[in-house]
Amino acid sequence: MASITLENISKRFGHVTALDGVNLDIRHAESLAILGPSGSGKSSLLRIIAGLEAPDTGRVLLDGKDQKDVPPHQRDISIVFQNFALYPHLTSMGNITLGLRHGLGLSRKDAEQRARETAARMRVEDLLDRRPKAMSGGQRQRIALARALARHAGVVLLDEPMSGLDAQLHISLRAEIHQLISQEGATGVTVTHDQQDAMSMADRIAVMDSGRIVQLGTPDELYDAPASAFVAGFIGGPPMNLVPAEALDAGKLGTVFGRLQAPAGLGAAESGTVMGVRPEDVHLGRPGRSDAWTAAGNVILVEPNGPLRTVHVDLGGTVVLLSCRSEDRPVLNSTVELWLLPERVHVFTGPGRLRAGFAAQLGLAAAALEGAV
Amino acid sequence: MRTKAIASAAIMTAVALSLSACGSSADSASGNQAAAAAAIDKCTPAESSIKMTYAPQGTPAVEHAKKVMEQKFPGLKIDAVASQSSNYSDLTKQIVADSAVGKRPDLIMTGLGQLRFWTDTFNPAPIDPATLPEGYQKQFLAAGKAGDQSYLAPFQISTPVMLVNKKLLAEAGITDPASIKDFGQLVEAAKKVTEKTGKPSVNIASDDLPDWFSQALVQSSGEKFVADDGSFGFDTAKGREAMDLISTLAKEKLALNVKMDDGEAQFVAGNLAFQMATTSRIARVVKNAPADLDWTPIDLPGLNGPEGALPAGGNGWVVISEDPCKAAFSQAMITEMLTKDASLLSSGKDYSYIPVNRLATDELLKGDNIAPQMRYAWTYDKPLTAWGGFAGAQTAPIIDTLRTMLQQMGTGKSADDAVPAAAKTINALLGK
Amino acid sequence: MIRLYKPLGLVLGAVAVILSLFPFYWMLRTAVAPADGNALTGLSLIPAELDLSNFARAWDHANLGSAMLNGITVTLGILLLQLLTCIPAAYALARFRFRGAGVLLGLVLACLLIPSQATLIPTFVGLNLLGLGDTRIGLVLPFVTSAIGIFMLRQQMLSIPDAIMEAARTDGLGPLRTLVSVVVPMSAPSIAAFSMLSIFTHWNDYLWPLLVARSPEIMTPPLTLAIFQNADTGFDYPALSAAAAIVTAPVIILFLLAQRHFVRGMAGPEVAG
Repeated sequence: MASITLENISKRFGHVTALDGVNLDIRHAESLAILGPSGSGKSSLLRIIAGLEAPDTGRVLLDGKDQKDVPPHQRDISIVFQNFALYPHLTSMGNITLGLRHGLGLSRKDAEQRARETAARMRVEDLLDRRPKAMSGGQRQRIALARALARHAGVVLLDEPMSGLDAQLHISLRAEIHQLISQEGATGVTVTHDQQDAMSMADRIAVMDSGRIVQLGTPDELYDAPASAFVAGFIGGPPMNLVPAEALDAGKLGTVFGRLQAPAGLGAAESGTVMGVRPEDVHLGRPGRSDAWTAAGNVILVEPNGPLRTVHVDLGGTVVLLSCRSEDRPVLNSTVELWLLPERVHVFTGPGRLRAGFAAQLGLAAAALEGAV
Repeated sequence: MRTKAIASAAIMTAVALSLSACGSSADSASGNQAAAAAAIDKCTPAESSIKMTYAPQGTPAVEHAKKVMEQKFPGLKIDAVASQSSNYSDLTKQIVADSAVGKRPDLIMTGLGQLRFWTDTFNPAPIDPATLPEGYQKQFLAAGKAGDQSYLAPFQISTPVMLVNKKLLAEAGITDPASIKDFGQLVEAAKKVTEKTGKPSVNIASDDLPDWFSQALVQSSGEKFVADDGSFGFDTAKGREAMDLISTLAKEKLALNVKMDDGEAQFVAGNLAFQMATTSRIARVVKNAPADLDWTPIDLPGLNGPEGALPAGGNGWVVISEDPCKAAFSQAMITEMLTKDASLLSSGKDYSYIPVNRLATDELLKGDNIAPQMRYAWTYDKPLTAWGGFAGAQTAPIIDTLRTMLQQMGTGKSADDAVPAAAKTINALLGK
Repeated sequence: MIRLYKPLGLVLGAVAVILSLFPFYWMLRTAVAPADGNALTGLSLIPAELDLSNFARAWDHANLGSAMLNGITVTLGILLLQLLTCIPAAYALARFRFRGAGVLLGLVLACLLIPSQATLIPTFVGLNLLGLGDTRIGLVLPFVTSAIGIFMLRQQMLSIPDAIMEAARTDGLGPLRTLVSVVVPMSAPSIAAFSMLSIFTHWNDYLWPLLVARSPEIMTPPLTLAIFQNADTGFDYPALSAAAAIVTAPVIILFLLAQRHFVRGMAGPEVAG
């Protein structure tokens, strides 16, 4: 069993608040990704879990036991460092066994035995007598992972495990890493700034911004119901369209999709409201439904993307992305019409741009068709 | 090497100053004042020991004298340490360093060019000429004088000399090299040889020993190197005319103008007619020259023929003891190192230092198969002066100035320009 | 134009090599010149005959065997002590945050600014107060640490990525174990370079041994070379050159060995196949 509980973790570096009251429960054997832009505090959080850094306030519990003053190597944790951090002067065998011998106190023979077993499971035995310089990026990553897994720790922490790998390797390795960690039955915590890595590797994702966890959920939850405009913009590719809504008089909102009538009493009428719609929910042509929102604009860029195309449409200064099938071939610089359904439009309101719900649920409707150009 | 020795005299002065600063704080009672020798019969040998430091070229004579002293003064301990280096500058550094830490020797060997350093900073005990042994050539004592007082007893000495290739001269129609006595004759002879061979015929090195060689040329012409008031002595009509020799040789394309060793190599190979050298090098030229090389040393010419005493090089003994009895025993030790037997060991056969004891010369001349050139070195009995004479503190820049002067004239600059310029610089350095 | 550069570079390189190797060649050339003839007269570029007696004469006359042994003892003693002091000092300055670290680093840098000549005499006086004049310890003691060594190694240790140091922490390596197992091997190029520098400097040092050493038993090689130099009567160039060749040989051999080692260390013994 290896569960992690973080209670009210805060950490400051000088005047910079890295972590601001983080609470998080990580379940046994789950794979959790901590996702956020650089400076969001995700690496600090990882280092605090590992024991490389002590929190200013709050507690780290491993299986319910407070880890205060427990040094890194005595925690039931192993780490895969950013850029692998392999010892350049040691062979893979040396890299794997150093910690086993000094940290875990295994004899040389036992350590090498365990290193061979781990390497065999990972099919990297042939790399054991090479030094890092004589290995490719992917091979180094596998050895770094082997070094972590050979500890048989309940928790494996991975700090940006995919950085520095080329795209092809990236995709195959992230699946492999995920698989290996779950085979070991270990709890995996991955820090990454890449939402696709997070989505594909993690059972749950914690999205961080400015030292706080702004949303915790499964990849689907994050995709379907982002808690804020920040999460919405971070999850999914191509990213969600976030268009501002301008409060007009008499409970009306002005958007690039024309004027909207907000029901009385809805906070959505306040300024600062943002409408979010995913590119795959924006369609070319004319709507089949009368309550659809429509707009027309100039095609300024068409990006082929395998089965789909991403089309950039300029709606009088606001660019909206839409995904269409590759059979549709919008002509560059031509004017196109597009539509979307209010039940697919997320409304974010308030100072935190928190999600209020879908436009249809909130009763937002196209007010006057004359507004739609 | 000797160039280096002299050139670093200024550094040593600085070292000595900082050392004496250290010394006075550590042991203010001793200071640098050497003691005058006590009457030796008032001293008990068994209670005394003397410490002496010297360069290895003195070893045979020192060991001989030590034995004699130990017989004469039973119980006297003589702690004689030869430095590894035969370089006088290194020797001085070691003595200065030892003195700074309370291991000041009583009796030291020093290069003659460094006499002023010792007299200016260590106040050595005067040498009493009456104690010197039978046969010692007292005219050489002049080389160990500062002012009117003798502080150094010359031990292994030499002086500038002109080596002449007789064969080359004969081919140019000059049969009697000894007749070349003045600079005019030297230039004429050189011209004749050069006409015949098409090569430069004279080498007067400016690099190695500029102060010694320029002093020799000046004094040989009867002018003073250092004026009576301590300032630059040869910025006179006569002095400039004498130094113009270098310039004339250069302008007439008669000068080889290379280092002494390189000139010596050319001389030994039979390519060079006139090589200015020192008597101490004669033994080596004898050893290295092929048997058929017909050559001879001649007295260094002067402007109007050799007129004055030449400066001495080599080394001698100085007493810097702080204890009157040790000074007395040191004085006695010097005596034993200058006897006939000691002089044979320090100057004969393998060396061509000028023997300082006439009895040794007589003995050497009795030997078989003596090269005639060695005879010149061994029988040199003309008076010699001290080397240098400018105050000790500015030695290095003064030597540099003289080297520059020689080198300027070596490329044809007139002595009327070069000598006054050097005089001005050196007088400024001396504060005159 | 560009095509011209490569041959030009080769030619310039060859000239540079010849210019820098020629003095060594000439040393060896002079060392085999006939001992009884005149070493200065018309030495040909290629010797017609080899007179190896100079080496035997140099070896005996300068007591080179004992001097070389002394030189090795002193040089390696200095190096060992320097490594023992410089490596921990550099490690502390590079990888630990503690009060006064900046001041200490400043002091190390200040030491680099003081010429060794300035401290020569005070050091000598101090050494004699300790009664260590004319001893091997006296030859070694002033050099037990090196500011340049601390600085060089610190710079190298600074360049070790933080992640490696953290990996060592999570691997359970204490500070000392980290130093021995990680920091020292990763600083090997600088340690090797500094060792070379130290060995060359102290093997060739003349001034300090000249002041300290008096007894023949503790003479170091450069001091013994001085015996062949006598300005009054001329130098014994063949013996001097032979002695110089003997004295420089260990250093040259060491350099060549170290160079091979460097190349191997850089390329790595294993080539990815």
